[in-house]
Amino acid sequence: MAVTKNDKLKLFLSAAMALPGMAAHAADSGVRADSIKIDYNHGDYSESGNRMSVKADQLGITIPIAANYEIGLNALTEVTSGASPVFYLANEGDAPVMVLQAGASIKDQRDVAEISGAYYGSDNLISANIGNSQEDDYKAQFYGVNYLHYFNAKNTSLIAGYSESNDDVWNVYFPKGSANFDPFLDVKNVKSKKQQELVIGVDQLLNESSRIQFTLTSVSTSGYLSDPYKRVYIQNDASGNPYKFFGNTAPEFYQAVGGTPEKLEQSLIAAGENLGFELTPAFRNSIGVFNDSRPKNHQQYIFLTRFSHYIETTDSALHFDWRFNSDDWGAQSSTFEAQWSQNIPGGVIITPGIRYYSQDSADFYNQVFASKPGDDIYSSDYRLAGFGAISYKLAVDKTFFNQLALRLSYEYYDRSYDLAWNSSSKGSSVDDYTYQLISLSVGYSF
Amino acid sequence: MKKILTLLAVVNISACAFSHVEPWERGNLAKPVMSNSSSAQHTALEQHTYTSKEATQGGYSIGAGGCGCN
Repeated sequence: MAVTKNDKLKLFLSAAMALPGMAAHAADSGVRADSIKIDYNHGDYSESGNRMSVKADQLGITIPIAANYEIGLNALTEVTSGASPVFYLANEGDAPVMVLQAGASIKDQRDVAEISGAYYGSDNLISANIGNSQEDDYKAQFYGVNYLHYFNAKNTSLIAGYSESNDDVWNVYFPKGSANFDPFLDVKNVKSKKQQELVIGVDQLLNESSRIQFTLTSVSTSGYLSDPYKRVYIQNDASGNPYKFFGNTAPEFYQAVGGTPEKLEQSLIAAGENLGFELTPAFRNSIGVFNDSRPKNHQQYIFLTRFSHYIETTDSALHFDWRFNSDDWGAQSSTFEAQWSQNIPGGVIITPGIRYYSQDSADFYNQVFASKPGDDIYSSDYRLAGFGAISYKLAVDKTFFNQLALRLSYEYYDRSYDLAWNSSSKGSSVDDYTYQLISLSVGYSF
Repeated sequence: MKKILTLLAVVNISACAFSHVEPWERGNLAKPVMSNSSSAQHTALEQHTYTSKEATQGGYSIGAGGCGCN
């Protein structure tokens, strides 16, 4: 592949690439764009079993200003539809059966608008961004600032960054601002949460062909951290007696009105809820079905190492990442990822990759609870279960006339309880699924 | 003596671990194959997907808002 003017600039600058938190273009190259660039990405996500599907479209523009500045504008629209697990029901001694629900909460559009700016100094790089995200049941306002400093003739880069997101979340059945005329339903309940992230990192050139990067990110979240649509089934009340409605436990009740032992979402109750008619909280509680209830604080420390090495004999590069997450909810995780980027004739780069992820279950997670935990903290959200996941990836890149860059990528993700590193984590294969993500990126430089 | 030897070992290992790379020697490091991803937008989409389906919240980038993804 021919060396471009931008490539030559990179030769004289540090390898401050792909550092977390930097505005998109700055993160990608460490070099200010020398012309206006437009980027577009379309993503198509689909889960197995006719569960969730998402179509995402992003459009961004990067504009160089004066000698050292750059601004970026980015917009994203995501349309989600399909079904998502809500909770699990089981009679004493039986395996849990998932209740899948679709409906208004899973037919959603998310719109994001963001502005970013960057200053490229001789020994440093400063970037900042601010944005807004809006959905039918969620609103987020976020901003971030990042500072990078070069040392050692740009063999070493140190980075520090901070970002904050202030979010409102509510159940779409009880829209923000609407009056709830039914006295038996929960009143309008807009909840707030805040997420603060702090990152420090170092990027080091090891030799003419290798580089390594270490970052540590602190993620602190507080406020309403539960999911307003998820439920938990608790089999017995405080006296040890099963919750029942006219002599029927919740699974028996769901089955009695059209559901089957294997597919409780076929129940008329689930059908009604899909149309927006939720069971009143008082009635749900009487049969042991309670709202998702998580702690009001969550702290994660994420350590990431990234290593890249160029192999001259094959004109290719090996990339290896390892990420470890320490989590005060108990959901520790490790991620290993390897990619091989290979130049092939015709100016094409092909990049196969593999990723392995494993997490422990959260301390307050279970699919079904025999009795209510004493601290009133519980969740059956499948994303807090113990599980492992393997991804198989393939990407193809091609640039035309040094102006038009195309990238097509595919990922097959296989989530499985049996792949969990920690076999004693809570969860089951009931939650196993796969997804496919196809993404097309187009970048044009004027 | 043990502490001095340990310190020397650490310094030697550190010195051998990486070498100073002059600007004119960074040709390989600047090659497109050495980039972790050619598309920042695709990376953002990919990481957002993982964040929506896994308990770990990122670590690769900061500065993006949350979502009601479930």
